[in-house]
Amino acid sequence: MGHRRGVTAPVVVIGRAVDAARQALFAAFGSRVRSAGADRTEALALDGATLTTDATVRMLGEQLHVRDVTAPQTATFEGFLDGIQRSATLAYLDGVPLVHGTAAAAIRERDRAGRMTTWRAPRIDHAVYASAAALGAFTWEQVATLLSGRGQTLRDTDDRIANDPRASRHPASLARTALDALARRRDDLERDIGREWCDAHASRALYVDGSLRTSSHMLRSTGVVGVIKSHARLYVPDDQLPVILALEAAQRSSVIVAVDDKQRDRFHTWYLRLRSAAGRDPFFGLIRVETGVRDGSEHDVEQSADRLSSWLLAERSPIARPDSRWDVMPYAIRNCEVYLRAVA
Amino acid sequence: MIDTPDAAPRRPLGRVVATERRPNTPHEFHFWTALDANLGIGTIVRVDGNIAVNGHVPQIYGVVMEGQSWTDMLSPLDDVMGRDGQPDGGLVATQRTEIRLYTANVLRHIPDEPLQPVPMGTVWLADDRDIELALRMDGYLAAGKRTAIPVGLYRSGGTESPVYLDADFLLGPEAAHLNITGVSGLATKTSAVEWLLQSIFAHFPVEKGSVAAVCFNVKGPDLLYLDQPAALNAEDAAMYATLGVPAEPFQNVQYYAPYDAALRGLATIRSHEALQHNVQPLTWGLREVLQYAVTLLDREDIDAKADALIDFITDRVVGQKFSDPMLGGEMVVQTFADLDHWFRTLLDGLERKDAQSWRTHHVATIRKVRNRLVNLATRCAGLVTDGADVSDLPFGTFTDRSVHVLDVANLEEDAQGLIFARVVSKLREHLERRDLGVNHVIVFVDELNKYAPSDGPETYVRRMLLDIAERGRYLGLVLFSAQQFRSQVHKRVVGNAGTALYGRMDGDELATPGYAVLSPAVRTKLSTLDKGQLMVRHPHFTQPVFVRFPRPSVLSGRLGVERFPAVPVEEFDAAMLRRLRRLDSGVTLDWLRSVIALSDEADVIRAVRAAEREQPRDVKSFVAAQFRRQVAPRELGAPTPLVAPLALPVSDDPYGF
Repeated sequence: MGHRRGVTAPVVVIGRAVDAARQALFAAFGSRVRSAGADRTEALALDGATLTTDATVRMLGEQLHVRDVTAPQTATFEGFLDGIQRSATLAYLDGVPLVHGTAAAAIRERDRAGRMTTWRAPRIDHAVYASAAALGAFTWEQVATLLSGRGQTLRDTDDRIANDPRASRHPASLARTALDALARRRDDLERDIGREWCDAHASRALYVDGSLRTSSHMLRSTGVVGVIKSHARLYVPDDQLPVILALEAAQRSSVIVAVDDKQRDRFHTWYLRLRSAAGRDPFFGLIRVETGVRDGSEHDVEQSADRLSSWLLAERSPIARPDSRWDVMPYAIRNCEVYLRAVA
Repeated sequence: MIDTPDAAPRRPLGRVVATERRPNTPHEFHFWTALDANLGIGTIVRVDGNIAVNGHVPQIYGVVMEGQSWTDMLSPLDDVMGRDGQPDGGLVATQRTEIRLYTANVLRHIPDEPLQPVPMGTVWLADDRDIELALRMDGYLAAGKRTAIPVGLYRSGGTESPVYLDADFLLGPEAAHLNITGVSGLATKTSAVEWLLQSIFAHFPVEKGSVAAVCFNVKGPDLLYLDQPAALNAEDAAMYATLGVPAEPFQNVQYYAPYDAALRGLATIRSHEALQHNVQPLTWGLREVLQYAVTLLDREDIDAKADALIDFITDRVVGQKFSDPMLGGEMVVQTFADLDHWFRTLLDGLERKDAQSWRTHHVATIRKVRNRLVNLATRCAGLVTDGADVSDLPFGTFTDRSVHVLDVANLEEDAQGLIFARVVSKLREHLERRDLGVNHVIVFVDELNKYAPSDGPETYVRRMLLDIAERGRYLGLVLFSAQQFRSQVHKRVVGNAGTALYGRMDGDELATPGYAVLSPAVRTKLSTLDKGQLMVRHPHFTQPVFVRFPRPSVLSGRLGVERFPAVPVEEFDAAMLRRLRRLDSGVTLDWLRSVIALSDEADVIRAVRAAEREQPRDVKSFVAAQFRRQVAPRELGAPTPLVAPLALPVSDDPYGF
């Protein structure tokens, strides 16, 4: 007991010191200060994600500026598209991981009363992912036949081993390529069902959880909005970053025109703070919105972004707890995820 | 079967679910439904299994006993945050995912064996055939062996199905008796019994014999208008039609009531002239009362010695020639007046001889028994006569589907006890001898909390009720009983009731251990039942079932009193006139007064009772004949002076005579 007392006391002291320092910072810099701690920003730093600001971007105006978004009166989105993926390593064959993966995507449709149902059939795909090059052709055929007899599909992770002799055959590296393949499969499913929605309902607003950049079809559709919750990649120059981080609730940045290296389609993007980040980390309640490029004047584009931002603000309630991303995730997307986890 | 393209296809109501923490068992299962599913506590459902067992796909019937709902909300704070702390604030774009999870108790497995946990499967709202199977009514609804008595309509989710009781388990011999409980005014206890009697009279199978009812009206006017029609609304009329019971009052009802204490009329609210055709006095003489006198005597007061003397008088004295040296000759004791004379003669003889005992009975015991017995006529005045005139139920000539109502509401408790004890004993005697006139008699007694309480002193009435409850079904003597608080009635009385009905219940009563077997939802439903709704327990039903029954097609007590107001207390002459006018409407007050002018009230009452008993064709002559031994009234002339005056008075002499 005495030992525990000895451990506890310094923590309290450190906690008080941190509080005191934080208060001093608030006093000196006001709302430019966001709290630190075990938060999303720290998580980004810890998980080793690539943090870049290298997208080719251009401010629609001369420089980034802040716009207030009007509080909405009604909910506008009628469809919510999301996907999930789930994986488990079946076995290691000669050190090559055989990863069973499930990818699924669905659109949940919302009626006027706010009730959610599934739009058409969900896309669900089960397969075993492995590196064909690492297994070798003979073993690959053996495994494929064996799995086929049990209703399973064997899918090549399309890794670089075949073309790059220096590529790692480390099982962890191979597992990562398998997971990447699974993620691509998920993207495919999301893209397919999103395209189907656009073909069926050109004018009905669709909320897409994630980037639209992989689907030129959705980028061209006027009612589709992509929402990115994580900010491993920032779409503003470093000198403009404080503007983004200082956004208050129901404020957005002006529109940014962007194109990334792998994609010929340009798109519009902007940042929107859904909830107040007072006392939270800098990314709390902050989403990035993507739409296709709209024709018209700069004013028209900003007006359109205001309208879409207002639609997004409407999705703040009900909140999506217990999901840890509840500050940036609408309840309808959580509903879609729960549905997919139940059926896939 | 013809396809009807317009008819919407039936859709399943829900799906069975089970988790490790909430597993299904052979007696209970869980299922979820759509939010707008039309079901509730008490709804009967069918589960269709998916996997055949022994070549049969199992079907399970259950009744919903509990319901729960919840959303995916982690904490109430989430809603507070989502609405910015304002109950009516903010736009809520999406409805949270919500579940309606119901728990049902199993009514029946088909096939019965092997008995397994309820399988996963689709849940369907039960239809008419399902209801029959679920409640095991198919056994007694089958053609050729139908013994079904409608008790009400099961209504839920658009299904409206008759629910039947099995006559073999309601009126015997398999089980018998019915008990109904619920709070006063809202539980519709009396209405339920009236309805059920109508249903029994309409559906009791002829091959099972005849049936009659004897009802004790212990309070108010509830049972006093069973022969008068009620105005039914369309819904009630439709229920009667669906259940196959004629919506009409009882056709054969007879009312009985003792006289009031002043002997001027019957002690009943049913005294309106238009309703007197089937009301008759209930009066008993010494012979009828003495056998049950023990019900009126205080057991702590009457010891073994007194008991022995009473038995002696009953066996050896009453109704036969009795001679004893102490009496100075032969005596015949027929009435309370005779008995009083017998006692006085005996005590006089003992005094004369200065004897302290007679035939082993001490003089003090004799005085005590005399005091108690002779006093009975006073304590139960109106019921017990000191003459020999007796008016009784038609023991031996009961007719099929007849109702006999004894109005004892206005009597003292000991008089009520005497009536109950004697009537039930006589019914039992006759049923044992198979000479009552009917094979089954339903005895209806309300206020069991008063007559058969679970605690308190042992009473003769409680012993009688226990006797009926435990042995009546073998004789065809069936007890329909009612009370407010079932938990406070003797366990053996309610425990022997094969069928139990529950109307709206009091919360305190529902909190007693006897209701612990019911789910909280069922208890909540019981505490909020509407009039006309009952929960039924019956030997064939493995779980309680909720039904709705129609308003009785007889006039309610309240409306009966309004439509047929009771005759107010009258002068003696007017009261006697009214009684005689029931026999002969030509009797006038002047005529009656001329006949009874010189008679005292007791003689007049005796004469009127004789007329009521004999119902002569010439009432006036019959009544007048009761007084002929008396001197006929005549007009008196001017008095004749016996002695002539000495002188005429002098008119102008102020001192003259």
